[in-house]
Amino acid sequence: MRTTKNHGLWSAGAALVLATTTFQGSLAESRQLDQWPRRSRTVRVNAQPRPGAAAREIDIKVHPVPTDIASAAAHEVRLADNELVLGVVVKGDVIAYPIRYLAMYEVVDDTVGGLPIAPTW
Amino acid sequence: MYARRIEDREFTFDFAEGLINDNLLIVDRETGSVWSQLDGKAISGPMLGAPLPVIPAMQSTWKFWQTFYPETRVMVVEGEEGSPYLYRNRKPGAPRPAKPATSHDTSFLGLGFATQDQAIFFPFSELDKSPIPMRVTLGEQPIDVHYDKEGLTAWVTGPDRKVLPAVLTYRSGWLDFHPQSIVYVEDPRR
Repeated sequence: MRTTKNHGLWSAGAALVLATTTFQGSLAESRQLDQWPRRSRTVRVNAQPRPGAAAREIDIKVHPVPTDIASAAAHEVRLADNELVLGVVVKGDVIAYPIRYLAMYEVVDDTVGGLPIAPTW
Repeated sequence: MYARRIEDREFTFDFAEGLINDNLLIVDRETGSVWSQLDGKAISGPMLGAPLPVIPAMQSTWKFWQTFYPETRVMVVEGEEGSPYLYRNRKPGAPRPAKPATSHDTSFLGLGFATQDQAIFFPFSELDKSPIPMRVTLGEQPIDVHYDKEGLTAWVTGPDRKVLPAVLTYRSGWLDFHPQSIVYVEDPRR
């Protein structure tokens, strides 16, 4: 167990408090993407088929995305300093979603600090 | 970033190819409702009009995030590298890069914050010139706006210093969903 202090970015009074975080720090504990991929499906909705187009009634393709997110400790991944991530802290659990992956899926289904969340980009 | 739970009901989202206001859609598996990604509300289906709870999240550079949260875990996808996503400046007014993009323009990037009644957008170009953190009153609500140029990020806190839900987005995308939004301009006399 490793304990880190909040460096003041998100204050101790915040709803999403960073106090202590426990992690084992190994890719070996990463979970498998057990429900992905699945087959795409379609939904009929009033929407734009492409950017700039007028909205109209169309069938849109719906693509399954990962529902069991694998993660690794920071020292186990190679990201450039200026690479973009989307980060969140829930009940002391801290995770960053590299935009390189969110751009692949647009949305993923994860659970952090016991809270089911949908990071989108 | 949304919570996938409304009251006791949990949702699982997939990505859909259609758009509303040029912004992507997501569809839940449980009811088949279609939701707007930027707005967080269902636009069709049994959940029509329902808002997803927004949770505070932060988009920033990896260096910025890791500096504050060295214990962070990082999403990985085994067997998939993806393409690193970076921001770099291009000429203002130049077209957005076609997808799949590996860079985005910071010229139109900013922070959007909305209450039930009002919305405001803080362009990074204006935050560059502003004293940070900056106290702004939106309606009756005072907020503090924070900005880090190197980290390519901004966030909002309330009077109790809690981080409030806000969105890093392009100006045009924000105004599509909040056409009455105030766009912050730094007073040059300050």
